[in-house]
Amino acid sequence: MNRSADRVSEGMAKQRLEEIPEAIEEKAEEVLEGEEPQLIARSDLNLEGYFEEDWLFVTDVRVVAFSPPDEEEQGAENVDYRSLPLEAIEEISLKRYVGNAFLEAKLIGGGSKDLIRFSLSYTQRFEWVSDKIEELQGEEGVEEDLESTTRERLAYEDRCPICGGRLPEGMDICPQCASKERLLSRMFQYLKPYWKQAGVALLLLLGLTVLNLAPPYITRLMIDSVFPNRNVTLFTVLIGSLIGVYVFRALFRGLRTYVMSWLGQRITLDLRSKVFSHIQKLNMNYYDKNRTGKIMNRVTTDTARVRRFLTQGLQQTLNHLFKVIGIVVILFTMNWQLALMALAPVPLVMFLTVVFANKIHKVFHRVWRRVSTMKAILGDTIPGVKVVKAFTKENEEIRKFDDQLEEVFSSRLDAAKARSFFRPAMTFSTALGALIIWIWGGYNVLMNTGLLTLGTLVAFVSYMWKFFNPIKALARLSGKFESAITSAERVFSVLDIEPEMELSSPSSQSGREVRGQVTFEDVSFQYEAGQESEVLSEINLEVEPGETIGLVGPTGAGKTTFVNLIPRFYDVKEGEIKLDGKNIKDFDLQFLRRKIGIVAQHPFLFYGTIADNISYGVDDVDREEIIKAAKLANAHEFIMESPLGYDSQVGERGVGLSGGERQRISIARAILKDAPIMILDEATSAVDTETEEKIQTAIDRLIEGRTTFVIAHRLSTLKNADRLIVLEDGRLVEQGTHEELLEKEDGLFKKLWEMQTTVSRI
Amino acid sequence: MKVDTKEVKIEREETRTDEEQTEVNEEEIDNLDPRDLELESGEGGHIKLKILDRGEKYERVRPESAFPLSGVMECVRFVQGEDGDKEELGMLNSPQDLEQKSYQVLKTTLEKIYFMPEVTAVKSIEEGFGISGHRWNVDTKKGERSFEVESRRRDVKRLPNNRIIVEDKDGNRYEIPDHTQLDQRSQKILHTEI
Repeated sequence: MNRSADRVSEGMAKQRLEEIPEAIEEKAEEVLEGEEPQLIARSDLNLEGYFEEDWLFVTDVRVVAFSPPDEEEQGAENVDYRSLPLEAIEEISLKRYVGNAFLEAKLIGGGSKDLIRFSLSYTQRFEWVSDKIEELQGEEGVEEDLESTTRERLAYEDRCPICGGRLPEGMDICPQCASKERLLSRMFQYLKPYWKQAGVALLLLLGLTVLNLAPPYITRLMIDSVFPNRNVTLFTVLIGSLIGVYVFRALFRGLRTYVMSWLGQRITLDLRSKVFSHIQKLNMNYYDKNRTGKIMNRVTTDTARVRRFLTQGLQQTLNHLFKVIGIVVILFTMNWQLALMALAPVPLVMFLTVVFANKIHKVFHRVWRRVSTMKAILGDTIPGVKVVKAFTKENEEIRKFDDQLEEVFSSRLDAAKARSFFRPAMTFSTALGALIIWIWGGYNVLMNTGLLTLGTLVAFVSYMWKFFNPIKALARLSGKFESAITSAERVFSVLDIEPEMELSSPSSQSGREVRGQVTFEDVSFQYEAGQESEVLSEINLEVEPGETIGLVGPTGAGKTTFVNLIPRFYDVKEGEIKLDGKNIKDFDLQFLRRKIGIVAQHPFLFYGTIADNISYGVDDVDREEIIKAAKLANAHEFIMESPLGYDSQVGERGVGLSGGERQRISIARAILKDAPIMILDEATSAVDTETEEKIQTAIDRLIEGRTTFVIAHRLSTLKNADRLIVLEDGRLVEQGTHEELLEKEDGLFKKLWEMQTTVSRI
Repeated sequence: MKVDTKEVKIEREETRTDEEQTEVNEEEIDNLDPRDLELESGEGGHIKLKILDRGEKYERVRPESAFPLSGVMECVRFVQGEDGDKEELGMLNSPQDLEQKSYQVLKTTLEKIYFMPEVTAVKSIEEGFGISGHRWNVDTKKGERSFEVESRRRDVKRLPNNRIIVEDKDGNRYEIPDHTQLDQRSQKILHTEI
């Protein structure tokens, strides 16, 4: 957690030091009488539950909380405070409730006192504070000063050093505060290796712009110089250049499309490959916190959006810009008075475009939400139609659906309203430019004032029509830019998460044989800092090589967490787990995981053949070995029953495998892996009795001679385990053999056992 | 793990025979009579509770609502002990029949435990330029507040009777009892969010 501590620069730290109001500072000086505050923390609620800032000062002898005065009566004399000597405090605990929490001090000699109240946004902070107070209470006190504690606290809190907003997992600075320039330059990094191609594309674009602007000018020359003077030479030249313009335009366009696609796909490939390989290395925590769909979106949609911005978006913007500038220059050189008049509606068009884009964005968001709620109702009631009918709730469901339809209708109507006003308004204002040209220009041509020729008038009109589209696009630019930047931020935010564990580090343990002795020493674990209770606490256990340990306990006792710690899917917070006497953190992670086989309740099979699935995770296997493993796992028979045998596809269009069959494949996988340590997490709970027997014999073969951890809710399957350990609320409460545990009066295991045997008797 | 949960629960229930079931009912569903209760305020979300007809007095009891969102003051249970080792002293289904003073104690304590300030005006909702979410700036009965909401769909909950409950990124909740009763400006701002 200290990763950002050093990086919080002085300036940022100052911002985050949170200015103490003068009145409180004054009062604190008076109350503390020269004692140095060791830490200061601000809350966001007062004890009465109003959003006010109370301040907690901790010195080495006491805790004082200050409440600022009302707005009308500023001044130190109106500051309330509650002071408590550290000596009087037995224990400080954080009481987390719904929407808010308290720091409560349990007093020596009974009773307790609320120190400070805060919203859930501050639980991390005050958890840290309560730990710190405990440290201060320790014999000698801690050598700390305000500066360092503040810094430590900021690092602990995972909040943006600038705005105080919550930081996305693993980031040092919140995206809101990240500099846009830095992001842009980072995006350009991906364009850099291909600058040649990008340059070519840009040149082609410039050429295209020129070519696009040429035809109206040629028209003008035709009308003004060719026809009145019957100038055949000029006519041939102009026709020739017109042909040239069209031919080159087609050529350039084709070339550009190709170059741009190449560039775009190349960048997408680079980005996706980088993101994918990066997320593979992230800790399980990342996957727990983010839905699969969200992660997949990062790889697909967001990278595509960054690409679109870098290629299309950027180039189109340049294109529009070139066009607009080109047209403005041409218009002004042709006739500056007319140009001024014709361009008068431009600000109006831009304004309308921006307003419209904002409005429509909001309205459509709403439509989208309404429609998805409607779909959710459909998704609930249609698969659940039996229940609906059984409870004769048809009419109610119909009414609910109708209500939702009404909402969809009204939101659609809003969208229609927005469109039916803005679209015509916009077309009208663009037509305004042309109208002005016709009125003023037409009049001058008609009256032959000499200010304007017919050719110029015609050219003006056609340039005007070309002018407004790029203008509108430029006005909408900020929106597009924003969505691209957002996507870029998302992509980069993933890339910025440091893998919490290096997959392999050269200095660590690897290559040795592993005997499989596993030791838990005072292991405590919680998934997230700030959780009220620990998932596992102070587990001590020694497992000899080859021993089979059955894990027993009620749901939520921490059994799965227990086994997840061994392959380091999560890292222990306190204590250590040792393998052959060495901390598992000192092992090369890949090496460690190769030494552990896992058979889970719902085995996951990858898209591929059965053979691929069995040999997953093992390099260079003989086919014979695969078959041998399958035989040992009792999987050979059913595999061979399908016509393609081991080459059968698993997955969507492949063979349909039952739960028991999948399980046996995963057992074969584990047998092939030949790991000295095995973890079986409810391996037999999802299959019928007959299959269970087959699986059980397979498992017996599998665990022979290996250190094994078995979780099974059916306690009878654990009879053969060398030792059972019983977990309850994260604590190891009993251990021993099956018989020993049954002899324990009032034992938890005995209770669980009796419950289950009653069931089977019924 | 999920499947596991279900199975174990089912088994546990099945182990109870009908006879046991009724026994359990009598023992566990222990409804308290409001007239027998006396509440005194305590610290940190706890109260002191006297159950007169049993002649018992508890120094540190936590009231817990069965319906924190839809009716905090409707069914309340009293619990003794800390996390992991809780003992339910009984249910109180009609707190409104408590004596005035006790009722107030219960009300203020529950307000502490279930903190959900009422939004009185929505001043602005800023579209996040960053990763996701929006920043709401509101006035509540407990003062001004600014908070981040991650997802409109998930975190802005519309309940019957135009009630809205908003959950922020940190898990704090805010309540709008009836959004049609807000001022025009707030309603307009809220319009795009719901």
